[in-house]
Amino acid sequence: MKKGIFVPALAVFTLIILVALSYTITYAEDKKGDVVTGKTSIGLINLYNEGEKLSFYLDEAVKLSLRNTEEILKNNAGYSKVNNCKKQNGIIIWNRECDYFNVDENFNKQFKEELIKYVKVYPQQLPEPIITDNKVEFRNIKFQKQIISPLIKTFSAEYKINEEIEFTELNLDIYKNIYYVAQQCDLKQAITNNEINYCINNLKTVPNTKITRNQDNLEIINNDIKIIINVKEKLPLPKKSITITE
Amino acid sequence: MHKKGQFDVAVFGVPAFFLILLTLVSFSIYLAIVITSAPIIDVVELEDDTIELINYLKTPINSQETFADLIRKSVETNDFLELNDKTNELFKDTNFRYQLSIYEQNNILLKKIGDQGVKPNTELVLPTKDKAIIVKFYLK
Repeated sequence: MKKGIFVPALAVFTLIILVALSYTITYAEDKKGDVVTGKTSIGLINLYNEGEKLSFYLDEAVKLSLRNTEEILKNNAGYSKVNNCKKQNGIIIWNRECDYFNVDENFNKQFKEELIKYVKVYPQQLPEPIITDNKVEFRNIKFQKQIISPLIKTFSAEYKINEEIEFTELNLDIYKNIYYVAQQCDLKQAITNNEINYCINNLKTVPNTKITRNQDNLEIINNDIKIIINVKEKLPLPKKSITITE
Repeated sequence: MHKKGQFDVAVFGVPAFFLILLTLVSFSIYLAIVITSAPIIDVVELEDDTIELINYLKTPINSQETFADLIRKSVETNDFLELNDKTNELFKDTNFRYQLSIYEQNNILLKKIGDQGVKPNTELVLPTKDKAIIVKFYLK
């Protein structure tokens, strides 16, 4: 080997080593990256805001569903939109053709139907609401929007109905009172005029109730609630009949 | 010195020596820059008026209705005059710049109220009687 080649070879060798070293240092520095502060806090605030938006939507949906349900129950004499009752001049006739009369159950059924309608039009998928005595729960709501935080990837939430929106603003007792008083009437094929008058007077004891008699039909009006009772027909049963089989 | 040796040093040795020198100096400068450069600190800023939007929507306009109800009524009747007036009245004594825009879910603009030159930085979904609408908001 020529002696003169030693120095150039050393130069090339040094160059290769230092380039490799520079690359390693640059790569390590790049990986370290710049320091970004506040990302986690922003992620948490975004998470909170997403929850607030959803909570607001559900509050509003519950409020609208209550209003719609109230309207539907009024138009259907305490029954839900889908019922078997017959109507006369657009007013429901309370008789055995109707299902059993349970206004609380009818309310829950209709309210759930209305609420699901709103849940379905929300841009992201929400779980089906669970309606209990005085609250509506949406369990494990999954947010689709990615929250800007390396720490938070997915999360779920439980929504409970706002205390300000209470079911008590709907007065279901009016239907119950009218039904209870009408139950005291001896409605039958052979009802006498005296018995009918006695029944009318009893029904008038329910506050704000007006009665109009049209032959066998009694048209009961209480605020916006309208009901027809045929004095020769029995009222709907109060509860689902139990069938006992051997 | 041997003539052949002198030739080798002149042709290979001297440039190689300077190459080594240049490489070492460049590397030293590079190392000095990399080691002394401080990391850049970025602070993420939040531009989001979600809470302000929710507060606005919950603001009562009378004993029974809120701005959310008024928006619903305006969309259902396609009459935004009252909404425009009441919103302007709400912000007239403040120095806030605001914009409220209402969209269908398929992004069709229904109404824009307030400062036209700003860009909303938050939006939420509002249920109406038979559909959901998007309300976008800016307040600064």
